[in-house]
Amino acid sequence: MNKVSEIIHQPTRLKIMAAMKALPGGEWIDFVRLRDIVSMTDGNFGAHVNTLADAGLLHIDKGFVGKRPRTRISLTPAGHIAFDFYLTELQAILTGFGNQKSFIGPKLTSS
Amino acid sequence: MKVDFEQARAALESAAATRHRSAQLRSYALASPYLLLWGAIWVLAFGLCQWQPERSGLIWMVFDVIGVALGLVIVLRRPGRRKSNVVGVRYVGICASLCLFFWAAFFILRPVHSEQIAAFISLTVAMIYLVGGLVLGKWRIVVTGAILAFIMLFGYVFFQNHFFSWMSIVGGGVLLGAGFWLKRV
Repeated sequence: MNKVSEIIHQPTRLKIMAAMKALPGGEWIDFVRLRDIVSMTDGNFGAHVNTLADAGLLHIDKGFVGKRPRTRISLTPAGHIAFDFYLTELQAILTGFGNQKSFIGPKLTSS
Repeated sequence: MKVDFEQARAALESAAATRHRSAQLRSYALASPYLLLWGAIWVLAFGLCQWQPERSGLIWMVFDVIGVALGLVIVLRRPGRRKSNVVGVRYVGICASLCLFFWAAFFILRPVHSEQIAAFISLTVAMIYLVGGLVLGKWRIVVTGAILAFIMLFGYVFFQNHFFSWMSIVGGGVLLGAGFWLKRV
């Protein structure tokens, strides 16, 4: 499994990516709402979101609604591709093709 | 990292379940404002009808126009601007189709009195939620439709003299409650 897929493969991060993938192209979702969908606590959830953002898979937007801080998250185009590829890798494992060394995935940077 | 067959299968199942849950809750969150809007309209319009029953037709005409207009505003403010214009056209089309349906139905079924009109329209709305929820697999919408149909029939049979008050408080309350329920994860 390539490095980006390994980042996604962690159970909570997998759920985050799957939840984001269900939203139509580039749609933003509230941090709190996403956390509730994934059923996570704040501290752990924030760390996983940051890990995915550092890998270039998520956008994080921190702003305010009036005086209340609001954090929104969206899936980057690279995140879309990476998640689709990750699912392809898993499917390949189920069909018996996933253990070949020549299986190469996309390289993504954190920029 | 090596991932075995069982781990891959479990990961795919987790991804599919989470995607389904996310899509489902997104649909509910998009539907919630309409239920809140029409819940408020039912509370106000039916309340006024109980107070001025001879003007119930005019009252509902005004509130229907307000409801459709505000509903259109909700549609146009949805995320995804380009798509929201298409949804806006569909929304107006659906409202116009329902108006024509009700006009035709009451023309065929005439003479009808105002409580019958209110009951028929409320029942139709409840059935749209129930059947629509079944078709789309949205169980919270199904439950909303079923409860709405039940309380409408209950009120029509047992509280016909106070039917408008019943629909204002209980019917409007069900729609408002459903609107808040759909907002929650």
